[in-house]
Amino acid sequence: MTAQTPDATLAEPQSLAGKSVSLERLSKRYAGIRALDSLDLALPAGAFCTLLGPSGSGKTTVLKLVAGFETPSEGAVRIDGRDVAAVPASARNIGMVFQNYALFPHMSVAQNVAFGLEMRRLGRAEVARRVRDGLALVDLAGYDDRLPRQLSGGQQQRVALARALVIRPDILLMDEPLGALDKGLRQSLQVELKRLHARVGVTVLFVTHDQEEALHLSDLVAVLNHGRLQQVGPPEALYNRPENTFVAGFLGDCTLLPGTVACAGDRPVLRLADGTLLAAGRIAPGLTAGADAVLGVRPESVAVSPHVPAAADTVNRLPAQVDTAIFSGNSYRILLHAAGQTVSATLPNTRNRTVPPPGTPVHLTFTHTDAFILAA
Amino acid sequence: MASTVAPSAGLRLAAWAPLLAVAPTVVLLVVFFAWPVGGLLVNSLFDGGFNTAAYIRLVEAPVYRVALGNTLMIAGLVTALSIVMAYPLAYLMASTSRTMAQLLLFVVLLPFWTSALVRTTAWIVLLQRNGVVNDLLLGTGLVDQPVAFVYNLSGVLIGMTHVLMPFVVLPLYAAFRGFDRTLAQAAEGLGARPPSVFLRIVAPLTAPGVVAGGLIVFMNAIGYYITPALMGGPGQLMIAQLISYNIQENLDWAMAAALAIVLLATTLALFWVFQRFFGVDRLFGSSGLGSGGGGPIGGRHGGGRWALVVAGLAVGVFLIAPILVVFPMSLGKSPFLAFPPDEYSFRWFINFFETRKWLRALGNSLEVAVMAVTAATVLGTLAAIGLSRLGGRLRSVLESVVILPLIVPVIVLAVALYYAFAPLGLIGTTYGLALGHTLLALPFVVITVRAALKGFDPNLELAARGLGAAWPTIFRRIMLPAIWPGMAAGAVFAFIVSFDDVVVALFITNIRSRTLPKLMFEGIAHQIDPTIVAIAALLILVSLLVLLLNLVLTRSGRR
Ligand SMILES: Nc1ncnc2c1ncn2[C@@H]1O[C@H](COP(=O)(O)OP(=O)(O)OP(=O)(O)O)[C@@H](O)[C@H]1O
Ligand SMILES: [Mg+2]
Repeated sequence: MTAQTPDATLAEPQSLAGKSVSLERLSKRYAGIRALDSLDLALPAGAFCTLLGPSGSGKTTVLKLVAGFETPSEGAVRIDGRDVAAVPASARNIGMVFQNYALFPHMSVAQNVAFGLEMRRLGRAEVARRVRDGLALVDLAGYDDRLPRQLSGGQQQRVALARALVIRPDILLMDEPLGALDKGLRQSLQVELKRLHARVGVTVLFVTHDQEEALHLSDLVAVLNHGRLQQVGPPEALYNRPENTFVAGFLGDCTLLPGTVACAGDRPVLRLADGTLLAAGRIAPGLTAGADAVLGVRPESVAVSPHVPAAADTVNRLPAQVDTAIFSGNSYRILLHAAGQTVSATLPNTRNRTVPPPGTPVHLTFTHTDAFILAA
Repeated sequence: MASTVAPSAGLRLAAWAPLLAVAPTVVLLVVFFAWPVGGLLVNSLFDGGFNTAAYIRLVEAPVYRVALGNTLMIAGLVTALSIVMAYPLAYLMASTSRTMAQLLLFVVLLPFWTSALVRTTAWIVLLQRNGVVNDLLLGTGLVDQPVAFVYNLSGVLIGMTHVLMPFVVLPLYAAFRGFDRTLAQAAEGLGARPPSVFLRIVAPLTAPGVVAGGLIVFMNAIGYYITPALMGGPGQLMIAQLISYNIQENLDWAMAAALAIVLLATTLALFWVFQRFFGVDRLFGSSGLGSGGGGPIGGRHGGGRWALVVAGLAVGVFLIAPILVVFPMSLGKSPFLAFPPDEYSFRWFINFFETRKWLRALGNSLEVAVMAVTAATVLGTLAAIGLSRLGGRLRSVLESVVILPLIVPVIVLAVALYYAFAPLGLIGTTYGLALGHTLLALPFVVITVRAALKGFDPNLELAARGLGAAWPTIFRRIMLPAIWPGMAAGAVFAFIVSFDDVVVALFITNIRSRTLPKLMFEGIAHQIDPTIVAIAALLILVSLLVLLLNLVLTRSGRR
């Protein structure tokens, strides 16, 4: 991105400090389908929050309820503490970047970007200035007169972004705004978004499929599945301390080994089907001895060694056999058979690394603090 | 190499076959339309030597100047009303549940398929001095004098808008269905309130459908005869009525010819514009019977939406009410029309089937329709197949020629036929009328069969030939099964066109060969008696049947 700080005007003081958003027991039903089920979520003013979830989990629905395009079946949307049920979308001062861009096909790029400014009855010079700055911000200077259909998917997305930003919204809703971009542009726009967010202070609710993007950008990540909130928190917390198997599996890779709880309490232990005992650092609340559960461990926490490792009772050890190794650039993903299950481990691709060939008997170790026990 | 000779001979024949197939239709159009129109042109310009007196009178004589002004004004108003009323209805159709949308589509299509004469009858029954609406208004004490709804401008506007509005509703409905509702949401999110959303986003994006529909309405309206003649007053004289008056009463052929030429030229100019911007396909792309994809539009249920829903429903009621009111009224017992009737009976239906003049008119109508449907279906199918095998410019020229009877005002066609038939002794015969109806109906058959042929894979024909099939076999075994729904739909259209026609019959038939609509027209112009309302009810039932039949045919055609 050619950053000639064209976005200076977007950061002018009048739009400083976004507004807080809180969703209270928010539900939406579409002709019997529960698109959203009793969602509670609080975004502090100026937060960058990402909604993460599989397709159909209700992410777009949340955005539409906040923007006011749909009315909640139950519950409330509060902006700065005020219930906005009676405020029409046109009066909420919310910028939205739609999943399908929703550019006006009969208007040029500049007209699209100017639309929201004209609705605010700004002077012509001011409109022109903000349109110019907005387009420069998304690296589309000079595309003013093109029609949306004459742009690539990524360019259309950037126009949609500029259109939402130039109105200096209190809240910015983005439905997979970077989905159609190639990696380079995507990363530079991620950086740009982050910078912009830091500067303008707008509250952002961002939707993505891409977990890495979520982790990079967010102050807060909320994971949705089937219209229900699974967990919300800072990205590190979600990654390191998932509260259920869905979050553990959705955010990053995770090996889940099924068994029964042998011991709950401070030093939780899980017994695998073959009797192996594995210690963990944490156990989900409510699980008691004898309950069906899974032990989760991230691949990067698992060490693979050809020798029997030295004993330490805080370290779990499992004899294993290499199944396959997958090269993925900066690392190898190794899949292993251990205790009748498949476990994955990550080996960094350092200079004199040798990867054990398939069939090699090895030993797996991982520290108990890197493992967690969750309800099955 | 004997085997190479046969295909090349076949090819040579194949090159001529399409032209041969189109030829009969083109010849008919030239002999009975183009040639007499040329005759009219000559007539209008040579009245004992070349002179443009007729055209000068057209501009200078107050009657004609006023009629030209009336025609343009009424056509403009009807177009504007159609568009304004179509928006809420089309929006409602596109934004409600599927069942409701189907119901509303039916509400649009049933009147669309009912003859203009029947609809005009219904409106007069509703709106005349002692009609249903005035009874209601007087009964509730809202007015203390009957309101003059008909035989004035409001009568013409109500009647014509009712007849022509579906031409806007159907394309607009299609446009709304294809409308991406996130665009409206995006505009709203950017701060646009409902009026701005409509003006800046919805209107421009639905404009092509509206303009296309509006042009069709305007083209139809400037040549309209029946409704203004029956529902207007002396102040609403339009060109078509003056043409009829000059031929039938004034016997001023030069003047009638000049009027017809002006009307024809205007219509063709509009058609040219239409074709330039939308293409002929658009004309019938929106028969409204399709069911495309796309979910309902509309989201938040604000007050604005409820106003739109109410407006849309009101337009729906406007469309269907006159059709529905006819039934109870036709079942009254008293010779004075009343709603609701005091006593019910089938008396007027029985009267229809027992009166000689009505039965004879019905017989004439059916006889003419059978001849016209047969001729139009055979010739139209041939022409459509021929057209589909022609390429390039020739095809588009011939296509436009074949479509002509659909474009030109019926009154112009009627005058041309009258002019051509008089020396041939065809005036007053059912054959003459059948010939006229064949011309009117041909475009419908060509269009429906062409549509069916588009779904026909030409490779099938090649495959059949490769298997050694001869042409008749190919036609019967391969092509006919693919296009028969199109032919049947075309035949249905042809029947409707013939059975509903008033204007051509007014010129071509006499007291012995007059058809049912003509007899009805004469009755309505005089005084609507309950038998006419009973016939109107019967004709609506026929339209209903035809509508259902057409639905079935288009379904099976799509399969
Ligand atoms: N207008 C609607 N009518 C009926 N059902 C709907 C409507 N909009 C959404 N849904 C349903 O609600 C559920 C949630 O949809 P939503 O669009 O919020 O998913 P999403 O998380 O944004 O998915 P994606 O990642 O694929 O965009 C889905 O099951 C969807 O089918
Ligand atoms: Mg979505």
